[in-house]
Amino acid sequence: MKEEAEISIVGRWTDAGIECSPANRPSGPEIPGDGSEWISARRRIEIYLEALAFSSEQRSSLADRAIQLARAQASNAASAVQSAMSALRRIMSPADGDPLVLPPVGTPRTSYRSCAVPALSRGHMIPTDCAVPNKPHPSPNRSSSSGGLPFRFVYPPEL
Amino acid sequence: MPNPGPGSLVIRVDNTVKEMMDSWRKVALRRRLLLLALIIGPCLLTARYMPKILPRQGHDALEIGIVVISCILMAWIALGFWTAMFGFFTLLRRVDRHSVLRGENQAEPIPAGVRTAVLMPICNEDVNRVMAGLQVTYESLAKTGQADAFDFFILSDSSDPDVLVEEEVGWDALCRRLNAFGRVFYRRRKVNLKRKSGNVAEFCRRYGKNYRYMIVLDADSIMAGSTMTRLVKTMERNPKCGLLQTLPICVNRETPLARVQQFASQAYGRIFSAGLYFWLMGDSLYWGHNGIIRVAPFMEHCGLPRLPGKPPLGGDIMSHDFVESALLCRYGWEVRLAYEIDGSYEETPPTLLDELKRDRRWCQGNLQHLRLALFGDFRPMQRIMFLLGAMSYLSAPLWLLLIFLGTAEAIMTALAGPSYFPAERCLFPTWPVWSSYWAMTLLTSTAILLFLPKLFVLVLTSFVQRRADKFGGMIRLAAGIAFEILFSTLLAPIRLLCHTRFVLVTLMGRQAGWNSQHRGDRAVSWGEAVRFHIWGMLLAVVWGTALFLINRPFLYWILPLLLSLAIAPLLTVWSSRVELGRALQKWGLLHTPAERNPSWELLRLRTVLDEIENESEQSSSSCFGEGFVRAVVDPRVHGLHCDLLPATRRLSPEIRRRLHEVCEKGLQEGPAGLTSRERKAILNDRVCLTELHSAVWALGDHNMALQWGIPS
Repeated sequence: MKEEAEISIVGRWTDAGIECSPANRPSGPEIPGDGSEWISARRRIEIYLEALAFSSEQRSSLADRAIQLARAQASNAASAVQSAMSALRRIMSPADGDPLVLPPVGTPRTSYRSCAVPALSRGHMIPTDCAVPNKPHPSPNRSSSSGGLPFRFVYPPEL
Repeated sequence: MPNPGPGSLVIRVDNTVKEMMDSWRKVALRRRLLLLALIIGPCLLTARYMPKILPRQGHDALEIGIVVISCILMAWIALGFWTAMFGFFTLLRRVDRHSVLRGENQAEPIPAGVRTAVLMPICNEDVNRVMAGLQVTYESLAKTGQADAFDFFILSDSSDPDVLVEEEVGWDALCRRLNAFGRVFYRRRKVNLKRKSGNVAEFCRRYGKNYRYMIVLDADSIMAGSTMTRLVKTMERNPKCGLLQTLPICVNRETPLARVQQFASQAYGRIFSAGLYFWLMGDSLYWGHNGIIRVAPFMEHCGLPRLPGKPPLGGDIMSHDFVESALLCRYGWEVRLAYEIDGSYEETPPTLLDELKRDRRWCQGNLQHLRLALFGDFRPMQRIMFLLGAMSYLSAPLWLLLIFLGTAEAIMTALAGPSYFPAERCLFPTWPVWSSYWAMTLLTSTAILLFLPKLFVLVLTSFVQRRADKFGGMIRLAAGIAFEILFSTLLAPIRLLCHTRFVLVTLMGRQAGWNSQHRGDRAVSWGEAVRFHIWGMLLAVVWGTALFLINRPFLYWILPLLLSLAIAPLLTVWSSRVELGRALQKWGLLHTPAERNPSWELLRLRTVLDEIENESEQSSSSCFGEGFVRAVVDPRVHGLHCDLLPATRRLSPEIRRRLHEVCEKGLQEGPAGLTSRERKAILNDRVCLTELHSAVWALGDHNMALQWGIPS
């Protein structure tokens, strides 16, 4: 129930992407300008997410979300690409507990958050149960370092 | 137990007596005295009969010089000959009473709690080859079931910004392939202090206390897992042993020069190593890689000083390996040579030019040792080894001087004419005579000393060890030996002249660099070969012309030397052609056991290298570029690099501003507008790199984004 309540904050997860609830539908003035800028911005986001090994559905969903956020908060000072990448960064590097972070379809939420979010907040690529895998453990009884969790997010937090 | 360090006289004498009671030292002393006697013999014969060759029977300054130099060189040749003979008799007996492997039980496991670090210091090497070699070594070790006792360290001193990023990517890919996070570590030094020895020293400072032993590998080394475990167990059985050196055999190259080196290494290597160990025993040498070191005494005693004065003879010690083994021996530890252990491999320089570039560095390092031999606080045997190491390069100018003096003698005799009645009164004329009989005798004796050991190798391999089939049969082995002799003879004058040049420029104060050597097969172009050998060719032409005009008979004696120098570019180019090397193999020449019956490790290396190279090509085609650009643009590589950087640095506002300007420059001019230094500065600062990463991905200018590898 709690999970449903969290999801309902932003919308419903569908295969086509996020369907925002009316309360959360982006509002605000549409930024005038060439729609091709936003198409290019979306393309840039998808290239970025492809480099991070997201599936095509995940890329599409996250790109939609980032573009929506960017359009809602865009200003004349920033180009469409800048706004969109900035929005993506906010999506991918939130503080813990931020409900904007959504799991991919089919991923159990708890395991996703436990493995991905701490890595997100540190901006680290290396799996969390091997916190500093590049330092040898001094004791002979080294704890196992599985190194087996797949990498997802690498975008470092804004400094 | 070994001497903790130089102390009072009483302690020194007490330790000396204690050391003499080590049985091996008494045996070694007897063997060394025997060797000395065997060397002095040919020297005395040379001193006796050399003057008979000369016109004035050794009575003038020039001829005295010829005789003295001949005696020195004869001692040098005799040393090599008797070392090989000792090795022959050792291998003939099959059992070496003083072998470090005596009492070995290969089935016993490594004792619990004994940890060993496997180090691979690298500097701007071929990343794919490094990772492939490390993977094969790791997998081979895993097969022994004792991999838990080992950790692997890639110690990078790379300065090329593209190479260091690819190293990180390669390490990450290696760990993922092997599931080896937490077993294979990567460390890069930003400051290359004291080169390779400093690299290893830095590891010792940081992590040395966690390990009892360390095995040092070169970038092109491979070691079998069974060999590594054997080394650890041998060290455990020999608590006085500070360092154990294996005999690495040369493999994997296809150029004719490399094939000759590989053949020589596999055919003669063991006999010469056994002979060397016969008289060195616990005072053996460290060759810088493919050996196991006891970490505690190494840390305590082998911190290398800077030599006083300026480079090349002062400054950092280039050939650190000899000095480290000498320091261990100085403090009472044994340095042994495990020549019987297989499974240790390295690769040889593929071309003559690469070999000579490496020799330039080694020459400087060995000449530095002269200072240590004369003024350092080392044991007598180590001083002798330093002198012998220097002599391996000083012999070249001595040979050349000998030939020059002989030429001068021939020219003077031809120009001045014989003097039948010298100035002092005498009743009878003196007849200056060149004794060709004695000249041929001396030449034949020298040839026997040089080449007889190789005949003994044929006998030993074919009839005693019965492993000629591993070389393709006895006839092929004999043909290989004959070819190797011919090839080496052709190249000897070129090496002679180059080594002489190296000695002279080093003594004149010019320093050799330490660039990473070419590891892969590559062909030398004609232009490169001619530029390198032009002075040698001119010397040969001038020298030959002068003798042709003045003293033609003497020209015939040194014609082989002059011809080699004259055709040096041809020999250099042909010896670098892979297709010629393959033709030699097809004709059945220079076959080696490693080629005819390769070990699991060598076979696996080829497979792994292909896999890694395919993987690299695929990722290159799909990713955003290579090296530095990849670290800026590819989010995965960017994240990996950021994670491997040390903690964020606090920089002064001025430096932070300059770094920001460099980032702006990159955004305006693209990656091509950044110098190597600027790229490294960005890579070394997480804040700057992250700033550039964000900004590049947010570029509105698609043309500039394309320059950074981001497609539109």
